[in-house]
Amino acid sequence: MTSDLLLEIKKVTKVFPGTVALDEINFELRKGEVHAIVGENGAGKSTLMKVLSGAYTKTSGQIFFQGREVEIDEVEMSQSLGINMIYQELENIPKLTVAENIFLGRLPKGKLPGFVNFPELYGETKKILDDFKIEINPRAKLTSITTAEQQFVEIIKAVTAKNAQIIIMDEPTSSLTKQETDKLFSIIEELKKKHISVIYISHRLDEIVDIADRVSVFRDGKNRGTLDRENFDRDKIVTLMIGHAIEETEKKKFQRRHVVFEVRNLSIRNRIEKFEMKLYEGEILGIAGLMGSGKDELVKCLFGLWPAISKEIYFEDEKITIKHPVDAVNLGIVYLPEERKLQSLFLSMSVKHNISPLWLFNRHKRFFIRGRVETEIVDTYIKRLAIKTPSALEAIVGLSGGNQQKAIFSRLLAVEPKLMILNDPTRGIDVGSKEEIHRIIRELASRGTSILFLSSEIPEINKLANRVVVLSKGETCGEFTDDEVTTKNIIVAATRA
Amino acid sequence: MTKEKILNLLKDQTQLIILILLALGISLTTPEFHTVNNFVNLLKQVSVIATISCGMTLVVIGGCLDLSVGSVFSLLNLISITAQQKSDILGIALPICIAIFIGLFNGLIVTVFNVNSIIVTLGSLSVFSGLALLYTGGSIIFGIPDTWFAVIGKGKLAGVPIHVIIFIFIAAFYQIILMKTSFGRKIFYVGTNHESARIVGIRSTLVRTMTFVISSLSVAAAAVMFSSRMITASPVTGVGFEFDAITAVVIGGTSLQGGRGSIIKTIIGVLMLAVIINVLTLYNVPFAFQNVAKGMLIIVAIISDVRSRGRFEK
Repeated sequence: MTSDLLLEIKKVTKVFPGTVALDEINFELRKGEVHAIVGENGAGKSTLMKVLSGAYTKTSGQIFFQGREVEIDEVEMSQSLGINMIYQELENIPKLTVAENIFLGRLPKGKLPGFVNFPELYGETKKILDDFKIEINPRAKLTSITTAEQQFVEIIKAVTAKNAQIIIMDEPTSSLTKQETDKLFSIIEELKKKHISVIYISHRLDEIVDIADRVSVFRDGKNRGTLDRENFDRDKIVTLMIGHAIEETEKKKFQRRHVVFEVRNLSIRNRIEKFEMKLYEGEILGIAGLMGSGKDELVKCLFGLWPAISKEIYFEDEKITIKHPVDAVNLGIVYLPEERKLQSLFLSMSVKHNISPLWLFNRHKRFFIRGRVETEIVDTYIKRLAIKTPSALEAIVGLSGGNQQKAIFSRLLAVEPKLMILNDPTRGIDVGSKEEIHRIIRELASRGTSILFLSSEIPEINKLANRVVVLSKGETCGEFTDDEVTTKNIIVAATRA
Repeated sequence: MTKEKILNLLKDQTQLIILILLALGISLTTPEFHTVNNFVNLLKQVSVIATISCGMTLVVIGGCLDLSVGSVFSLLNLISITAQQKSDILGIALPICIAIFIGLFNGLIVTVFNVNSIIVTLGSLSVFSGLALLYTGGSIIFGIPDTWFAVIGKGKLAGVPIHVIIFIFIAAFYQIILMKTSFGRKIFYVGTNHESARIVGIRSTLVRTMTFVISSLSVAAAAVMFSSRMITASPVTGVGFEFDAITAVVIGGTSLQGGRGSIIKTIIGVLMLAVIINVLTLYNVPFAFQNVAKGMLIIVAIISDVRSRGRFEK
C-alpha cells in the first residue's frame, strides 16, 4: 500500500436548517486503499458522500484532491475528479446489454456513420470482464442478470468509462448473498491492484474487518477516530460508534403478564425463516436489524401487506388470519407505514379527512356519516396532539412533516387500537416533533396498548423499547429484555452479519 | 383575510363563473337563446348525457375511467326496445339487470388483474359495440308506441319533463352518496392514494368495482330514458357518448387523476358543453367544427387539471 494521499477533507461543515449534519469533519483517503466508514444513521456518512459527489455544497472547510484544493459544487466537477458513487438504486439501463451499458456514450463506431461496431464492443467488454474475473455474458440484457451482477457492471462502468479514481459504495452488500459478497470483494481487490481507492460504507463489521485497510467511525457529524488494519477491534469500533456521551436510560423492569399478540412459524419467501415472537400488554417491542434483515417485510406481513409462506398469529388467545389490512384493522391492530407521503397521507385532502378514515370505517361504521361527530373527533385529536394547522379543513400538504405525522398518529389513536405497528415513526421529522411522538408512544403503552416498533435509528429503539428482537438475514439473532436493552447490545447483535 | 377567502371561493368556482358569464353573454347578444323554450330544450337535450356523466364522475373520482359507456348505451338501448316489445316493465328492468353484469365485468377485470382501466374499457367498448351490431345485424328496431313506457321520455310533471326529473333525482342521489356516506368517502380515499387507502382498511378493489357498476347503471337509466322518448333503437345511438361524458366531467373540474370532484361540478360541465354547442348551432357553425371545439375544450381542461394538481407533488 502506498501512503500518498489522494483525498483530504479538512474541517468540513455542512449545516441544514435546524441541524448540523457535518461538524468540522476530517477524513483522508490514500491511493489504492479501501477505507471503510461506519456510524449510526444520521452520523453524517451519507452527507459527506453527497458533499463529495457534488449533490450538496459544503458550508465551510476545505477539500484537497492530490494535494490541490478543490471546490466540488456540482456533480460534473466531482466526476471530472474521478469520484464515482455506486448507488443503491442502480443507474443502469435495463433494456440494454451489459456491453452497451459499460460503453454507454462511447460505443465503438462502425464503418458507416451512425452504426456501431458490435464485434469490437463485445470483444472489448469480454476482455474487461475477464480482467476483473467476472463471468457475465457481455450480450446479456441487464434485466436477465442478478442485482449483484448489475452492481458489478456499474462498478466496471465507473472504472472504465468515467476514469474513476475513487469509488464510493454505500451498503453494497445489503441485498447480496454470501457468494456474491465474496465476488464483490474480489472485484474490490482488483480495484486496489489498479490503485483505485474505495470508500466503503457499511454496518456489517465482519465485512469491514475482511476487506478494509482502514476504518473511520463517524458520530454526530464528526470523525471519532480512524483505525488501521492492525488495530481493528470490534469492541473499540462499537464504543466509538456509540460514544461515551450517550447515557443508557434507566430501564425499569417491565411487568409481563398477559400475552396480547403471538406469532409462530412465520416464514416469508427469501426473507424470513420460521420467526416467532410474543408481545405483552402495554409492552413496547423493538425490532432491530440492518437493511435486508427482513424486518420491513416481517411487519408488512403481520399487517397483511406482504404474502407469507406460513404464518400463525394469535391475538388475545385466539387464532386469527390476516389476509388484508382490513382484517387487522377490524381486530384493533393498526399500522403506521414508513413512507409518509406514499403510504400514509392523502396529500390532496384536508387535515380532517386525513385524521378520520380509520375511525370512520371501523368505529363510526354508519352508512351516513354524522358530520358533526366526525368534526368533534378530529378537533379533539388536533387539540390532544397539538397539531399546528390553521384549521381542520386545511390541506394536509401545507403542514410540516412533524405535524403531518401527528395527524397520522391521530388517525391511529382515534380507533383506540390494542396493537400498533409503527414502522420508523419519526423518519424525516424535526427534533421537537420527535420528542412529542416519543411521549405519545410511551403514554399509549402505559395505558395498555402494545406496540411493535421499528426504527432506522438504534438509539431510538433503545430509548423506547422494553424488549428488542434483533434480526439478521431473516433470522432472530438476539433478544434483549429490560436492562439488557442497550444501544451497544443491539449494534453488536445487528452487525454480526 | 376575507378578501382572500372570497378570492379562494372564486377560484374554486371557476367553472360555475364561466358558465354564468357564458349564459349571460349569449342571452344578451342572441335573442333566440333567451327564450324559456330554449332552456327547457337544453335540459331535455342534456338529461341523457348528464345521467351518464354523473355515473362517470364516481368512476373518475375513484381514479379510473370508463370508456365503454357509449357502446354500452347502444346495447342497452337495443335491449330496452326489444324487451319493451314483450312488456313495458321488462323494457326497464332488463337493461338495468344487464348493466349490473356489464359493470361487474369492467370493474372486476380492472381491479382483480390490476390493469389500466382506460385499456380495459377501450376493449369492452369494442366488445359491446360489436355485440350491439350483431344483435340486430345493424338495422334499426322499433318498440310498441303509445304504452305507458313512453311516459318516461315524453310525459311532464308540472311542466317539467319526467326524464329531467329522473335525472335530477339520480344526480341528487349520487351527490348524497359522495358527500354524506362512508362509501362515497371511500371512493375519494381510493382515488387519492390507493396504497394509503388499503392501509386504513379499505378494500379498494370492491370500491372501484362498485364505481363501474354505478357507471353502467347510470348508462342503463339513460338508455331507458332515451328508448322511452324515441321508441326506437339502433346499434350506434351511443357512439361518442364516452367522449362527451368525459369532457363534461373534466371541464366541470373533476380531476382525472382521481380523488377530487363532485356531481355538481359535472352538471356544470355538462351545461357548459351544451351551451357552447347550442351557440355554435345557433350561429350555423358546421358540425365538424363543433367537434374541433369540443376537442380543444377537453385539452384545455386537462392541462388546467394537471397544473392545479402540481401543487401536491413537491
